[in-house]
Amino acid sequence: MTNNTPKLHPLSLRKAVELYRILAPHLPQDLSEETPALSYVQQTIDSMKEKDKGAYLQAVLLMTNLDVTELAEKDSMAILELFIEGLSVNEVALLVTWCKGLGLNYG
Amino acid sequence: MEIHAGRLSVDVQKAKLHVWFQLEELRGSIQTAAESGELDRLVESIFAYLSAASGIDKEFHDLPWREVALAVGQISKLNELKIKYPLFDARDKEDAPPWDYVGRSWFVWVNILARAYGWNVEYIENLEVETGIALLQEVLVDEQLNREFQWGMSENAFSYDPASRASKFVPLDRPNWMKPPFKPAKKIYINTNILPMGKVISLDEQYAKTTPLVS
Repeated sequence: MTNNTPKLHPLSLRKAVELYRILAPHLPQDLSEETPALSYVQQTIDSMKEKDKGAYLQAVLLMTNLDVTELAEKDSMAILELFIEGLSVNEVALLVTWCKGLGLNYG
Repeated sequence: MEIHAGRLSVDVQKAKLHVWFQLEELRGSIQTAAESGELDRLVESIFAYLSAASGIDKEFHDLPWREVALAVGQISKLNELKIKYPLFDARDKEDAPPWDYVGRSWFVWVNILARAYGWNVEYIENLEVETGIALLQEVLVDEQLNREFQWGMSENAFSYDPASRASKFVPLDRPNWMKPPFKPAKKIYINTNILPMGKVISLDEQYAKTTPLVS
């Protein structure tokens, strides 16, 4: 991890549900326990690049609470690290399961 | 039951009838908000659910989502009904009457119980959930059986069939939850000895082959 990396905290309910709304159309559907985490992240990012380029940065901004100016100063690798860490800190796989259990479905 | 959500520790008791009723309405609101994708309403309903159950309000708003989800799950489990009441087995959703309004359902319950037992609103609000629901169901059953008895003594309960020159009793319709549950059709096993042998010709296929299409 590079210096000046903000410490990420789990999101509140309101922001977590918003994160789910951003990520849900891009998350891989056919997921098994053997799916490596990096493959999961790669498929998500690939889908965002193809369908909604803004979603990736929206997700990073939401998870890090940085503003656009601060994010623009970071290189792409740093942003990717933040994205991956954000998914981990917010237990996105569990968030998806919970939201789907409530009946919230996107994508 | 102690609920630990992050740094928050709250003692939550099993809800009495009125609070349980509110929690059920909020669960319905959570479900409809989720199904329609209304995120703001979903989040507000979840916080309202936690507030109604625990008596505290804003403290849940900044907690990590996982703690909030766990708290919702624990409260839901604490207040779930252990008995499956036929009263809640609504097979057909009935249209709301013209005099319906938001929040009316609770007062329907209070009216039925107060009329039957002479209780006041505060007493009914603090009934144990299982007791309240069971008594409500019994009052509704009694009222329906009384109506059926009155109906049976009325001329309208008998229809005359001119063909057979006999009167036939027409029972009063019951609400769906008082009717026997649907049973799937019984499978009938046909002995292979009586099944047709050889190639089975479908008359529909034959007709389709011989009747030309009209152009």
